[in-house]
Amino acid sequence: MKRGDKVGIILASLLAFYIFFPLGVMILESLATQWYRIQKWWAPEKVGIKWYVQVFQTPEIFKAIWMTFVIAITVAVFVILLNLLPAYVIGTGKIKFGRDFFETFGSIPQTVPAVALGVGMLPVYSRLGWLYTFHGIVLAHSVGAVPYVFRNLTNGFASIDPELEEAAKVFGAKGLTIIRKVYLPLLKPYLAAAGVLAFAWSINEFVLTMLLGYPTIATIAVKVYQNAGGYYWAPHLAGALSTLLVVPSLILIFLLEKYTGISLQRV
Amino acid sequence: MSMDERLKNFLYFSPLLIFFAVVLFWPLFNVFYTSSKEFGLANALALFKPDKYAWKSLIFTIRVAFVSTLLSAFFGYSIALILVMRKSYENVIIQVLRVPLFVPYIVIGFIWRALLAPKGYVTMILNILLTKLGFEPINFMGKGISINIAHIWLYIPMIFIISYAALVKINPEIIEAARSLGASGWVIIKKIYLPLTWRALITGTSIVFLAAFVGVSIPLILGSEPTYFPVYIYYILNQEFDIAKASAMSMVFVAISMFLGYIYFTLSIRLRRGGYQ
Amino acid sequence: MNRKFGFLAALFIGVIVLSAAGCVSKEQATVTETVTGAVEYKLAYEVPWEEIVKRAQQEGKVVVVGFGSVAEHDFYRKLGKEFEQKYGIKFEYQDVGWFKAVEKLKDEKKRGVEVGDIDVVMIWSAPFAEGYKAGIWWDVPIVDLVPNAKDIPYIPKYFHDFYPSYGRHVPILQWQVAMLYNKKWVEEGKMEAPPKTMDELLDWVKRNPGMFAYCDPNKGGSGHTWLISVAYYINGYDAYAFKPFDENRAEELSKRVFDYLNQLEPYLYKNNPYPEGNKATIELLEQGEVGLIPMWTSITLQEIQAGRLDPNMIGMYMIDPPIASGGFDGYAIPYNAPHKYAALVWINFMLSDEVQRRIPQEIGAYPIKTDAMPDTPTFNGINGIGVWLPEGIDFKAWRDPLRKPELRYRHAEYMFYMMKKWTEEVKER
Repeated sequence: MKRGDKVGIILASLLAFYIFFPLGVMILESLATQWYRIQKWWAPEKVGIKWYVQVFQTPEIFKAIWMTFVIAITVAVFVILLNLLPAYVIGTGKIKFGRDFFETFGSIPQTVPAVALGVGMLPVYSRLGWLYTFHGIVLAHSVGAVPYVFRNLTNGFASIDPELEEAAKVFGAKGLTIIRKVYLPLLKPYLAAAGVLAFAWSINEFVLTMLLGYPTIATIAVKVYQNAGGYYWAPHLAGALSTLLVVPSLILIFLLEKYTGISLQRV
Repeated sequence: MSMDERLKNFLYFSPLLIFFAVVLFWPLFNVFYTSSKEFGLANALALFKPDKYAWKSLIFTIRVAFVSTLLSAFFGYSIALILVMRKSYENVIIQVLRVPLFVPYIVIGFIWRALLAPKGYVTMILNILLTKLGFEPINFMGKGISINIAHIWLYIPMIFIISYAALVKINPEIIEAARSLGASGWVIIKKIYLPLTWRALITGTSIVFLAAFVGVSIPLILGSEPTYFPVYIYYILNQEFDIAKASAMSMVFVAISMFLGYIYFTLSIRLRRGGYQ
Repeated sequence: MNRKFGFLAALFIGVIVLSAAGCVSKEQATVTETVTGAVEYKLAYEVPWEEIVKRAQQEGKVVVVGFGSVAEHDFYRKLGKEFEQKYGIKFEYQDVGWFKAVEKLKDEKKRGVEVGDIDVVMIWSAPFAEGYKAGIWWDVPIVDLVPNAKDIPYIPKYFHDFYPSYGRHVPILQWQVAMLYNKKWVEEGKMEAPPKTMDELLDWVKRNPGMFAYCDPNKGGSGHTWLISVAYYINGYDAYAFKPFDENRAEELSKRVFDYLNQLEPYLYKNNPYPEGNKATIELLEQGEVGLIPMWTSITLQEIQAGRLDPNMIGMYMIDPPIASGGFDGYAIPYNAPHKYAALVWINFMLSDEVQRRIPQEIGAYPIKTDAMPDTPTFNGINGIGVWLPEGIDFKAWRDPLRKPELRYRHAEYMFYMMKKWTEEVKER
């Protein structure tokens, strides 16, 4: 790395400004208690933590924060379990016949618009009695998380030397034992990455929650929408909620990457 | 491979298959079934006549998604190129550029809605510059360009990450060799970087186009005229509660996005086979 | 590495156990609350009010679904706490809105769920009527059971935007749209003084191009209330009031209304003549983009409370002929409400004079009970400016049925017809 390179400094600072300025405005919106933009568009007249106090005084917020994280953790675990075996057969090259098909299979949800999926799910869920239920929402969130987890786990299995499995077989290990004893310890970084991505996906998910779960199940994303949609545009509260959602998750991801040395990508 | 093995492989896949069958294929089937049975295929297609709102909305959406993709591809790839060629502050830049990927879309929509309001920072700063230069001030509210601006904040990093991953895999010795033969920066980009990474770039752009095309949250908050297509479906469902009409529109939507997805998958499989690109 | 993952696993298990415990404890809590059987409710007519209150206390809980802005939700929650103290009935508030509540009840009705989990739904005319057709409301004239409902004016008591409510709906408050304008600009000469009558509006808008905007009628209530008010101005109130809905007639009547609106259009705010929603509309005024808008009194007050609208900058008045009342929203009880007596007691509480008097001060709407309107309205906090009562309205005279009826009710069916047509006839033209 060449320190002191001018182009590098300029590019880095421009990008840092481009990325962090909007986030700063988000925080500013949440702190502005009086801001008459017609007189002074560049800065609020009064700032304070009034809106955070208001957010924390509404009991639904705690329920929504709680729900968001419980759903996200459940989704992460469920999708990992669901993809472990398929990723194993694909990643270790066990499937020869129709490999392309199976490889693509796990990525299908990425091509399905969430709105269209929601339109189709409404009657199905109504029929199964899954509307407004916890498991219904977990399953709905899981669909979109599959591609990220599937790809990460497949890469994980592919990165492991197949001779390890052979060696284990020599010592009499079979099926699930092989996965558990041989692969899982080596897969940990990939599992963590997959888990975090599924978690992030679930936190991000909004349309399906709104359509299928909303009266009973509300997540922070839904609450942000309620305060940021055109009908009830309330930037002060949307800002406070967004800050409460974004800042902890960025810190969490930063720590996790530092801590486990793995890189998490969304794509 | 024996029949037994095949069966076993299939068994390994069965949890995912069952899961998809219930929460993905059944709903999708339902979309097609409802729209053909309750709405009628002819009626569904009639919604997309050129003078109908659905058609306007669809064309608008494709246009906006296309512009967003183009802009993000240009900037994202350029940043990746600069980084690979100069190798300065790369860790900082990578860390910074990954931040938007972990900000929920709904929040991105909210932030840019605030920045692009008539007295928002971006609008005001831009308009002060524009009036100084003697141009008419602009307004972002309800325009496609506001969606573009919010989109690229999210998608430049996406393209960057995909293309950077491909660019760093290029053997530095090739570049060194070209340099020692006297090739300039432009020539190296044209003759080495681009030919070796165009597939990654195309994969990236198709992912981004797909995401921009189907995403609801950002255009839902920013609002536009005509309405962004997925938002239009959402409104039909959530305000008019006309599930038959929503299904008919979803059907067209799914068909288009699956076609795009097909292109993306074909490319990405080739990409994986094709060595380090 | 292993210890870290062990920690994460333990954390995860802990979360699951806790959430399971949360579910269990919640279920145990509901056991102590009784659910009154469907049969017993049929006798509600014959039971004296004291007995209803006693049974409500036995039920021990009421679940209220409300809609509205953040300030409104906060108001209901605050009242809920007072209700709990007064009656010893546990109050649970859900800010999920009428749309989702109606969808949920319809789903439950279809599946035959006899005991639901919502006791009271705050709702407006159209979804109420739709729900009534679907049979999701408790089929008892609750408006006659609640003692405090006695003083509700006759029309809102039995009609909701000209839909007969058969007493299954109890109005609580009145929303109102009025003209909101930038007073500073008028003083500075940036804009002419706003038109006092509808007759002057078109000319005013022509002389002050880009200064006026109204909310997209399909995206916000101030928009469709404005739409029906323009129709009343063009065709006369009597052409609509208490008239049955007829599609041909609606088409005939609407033509002139859309003509008028199309005449206005070229002179509206040029960037975005129809902002998407009430808040988007008032935002234009706050940020100095337009100078005159039709706006809810309630949202005006709430924007001042949120520190975004400068109260010293604005004026609010009622144009002549007046803008129709934006609905007398209130409560309906679902057919499968588990605590129907408690629901009645809650509604009665909301109609008490103490609560009614606070409605204008806290959320900027008007009480349904005319007498509860304070004579000299005061305004919470900001310089004592009564922005929420438009200039030129004497509230009590306005509601007086013996005088020339200046208060106009919306005709929901004609309004809906026009909302749907408006998009193609005005917006997309």
